[in-house]
Amino acid sequence: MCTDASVAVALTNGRHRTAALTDMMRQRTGAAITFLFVRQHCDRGSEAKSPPSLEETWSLLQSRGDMELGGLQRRYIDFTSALFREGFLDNQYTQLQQLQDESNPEFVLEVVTLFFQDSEKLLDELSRTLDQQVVDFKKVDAHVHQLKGSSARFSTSCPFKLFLLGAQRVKNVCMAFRNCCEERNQEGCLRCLQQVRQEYFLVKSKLETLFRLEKQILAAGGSVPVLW
Amino acid sequence: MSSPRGPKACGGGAADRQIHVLAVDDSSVDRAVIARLLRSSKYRVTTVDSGKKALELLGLQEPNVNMIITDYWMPEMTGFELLKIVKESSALREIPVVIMSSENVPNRINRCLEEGAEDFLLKPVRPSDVARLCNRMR
Repeated sequence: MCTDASVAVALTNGRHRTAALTDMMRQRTGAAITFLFVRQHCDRGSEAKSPPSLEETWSLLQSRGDMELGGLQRRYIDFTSALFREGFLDNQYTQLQQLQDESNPEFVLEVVTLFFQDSEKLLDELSRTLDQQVVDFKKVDAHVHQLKGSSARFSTSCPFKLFLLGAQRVKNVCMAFRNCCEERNQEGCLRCLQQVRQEYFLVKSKLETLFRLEKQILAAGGSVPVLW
Repeated sequence: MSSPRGPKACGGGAADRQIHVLAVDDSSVDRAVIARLLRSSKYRVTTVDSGKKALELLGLQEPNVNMIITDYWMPEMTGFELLKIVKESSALREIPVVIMSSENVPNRINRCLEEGAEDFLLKPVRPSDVARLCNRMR
């Protein structure tokens, strides 16, 4: 049996319908999202009915506004949109979401967990390397290179750039970091490391909030919006 | 049931011989992503985190690897160095090698292609990139 939220979702499977619904939502809510694609969430075996009109869908979504699920989904959309706007998330996150499906239902969480593990390992390595009597600046530089990845728009080799934590901010810190390495400036390196650490924990807390919201939505029987 | 978003699985190939891709990348995040992309195309995937481990695997009796896909920048042994070793080996040189990199450096791309790389993919690798590789498998 499809839930109400799923009926609204089924409507948006077609791209043209998605675009139409998105336009309407954007106009009526003034939301800063560019596209909202809500994935089908119907139980298997449910009948494919003729989908409700856009107006009917809109009132369905509106009526859920006061009810827990609709509110949760709206909060999720607001939060995620803000993360995109502030540069904490970018298209790469969306691409990860697109790789998630029934056969890999936790893919994004798995990848993000790897990101947390790798990043914290890297930060610890950097701490350790900079803590030595005689600092191996080449090693530090190599780690920062891993941190910064490349100057390309989407850099998966850099665990931080993967989520574009305010790309310019990270890039600047990493550049400063590498300069300090070149100058063999231990103090400078330690300062940069501190900054990078702060950025990382900021991203981590935002992502954890994101996942918490997703869990709440799923627990309430709804589907998690995918933004692109 | 094919996913609407995933690439089409490569057609053909003997039912008893699944295409086996060796993916080499020092980043666990990137390994997870490339493995996911390749598996959704129905390839069998082995991932390793270094060129050294890749060569160990390839040195086995029956590696049965149809393609190597490797990151360019890795500590200790770069993807380029791995490419050279593979192409210089009589046992391995027929295996197509694809290089991935997050950096778009034309010189680097040319050098890899000249050294015998089959293709050069810019990260983030997309399903369409993987679909393109279909025809290059040994």
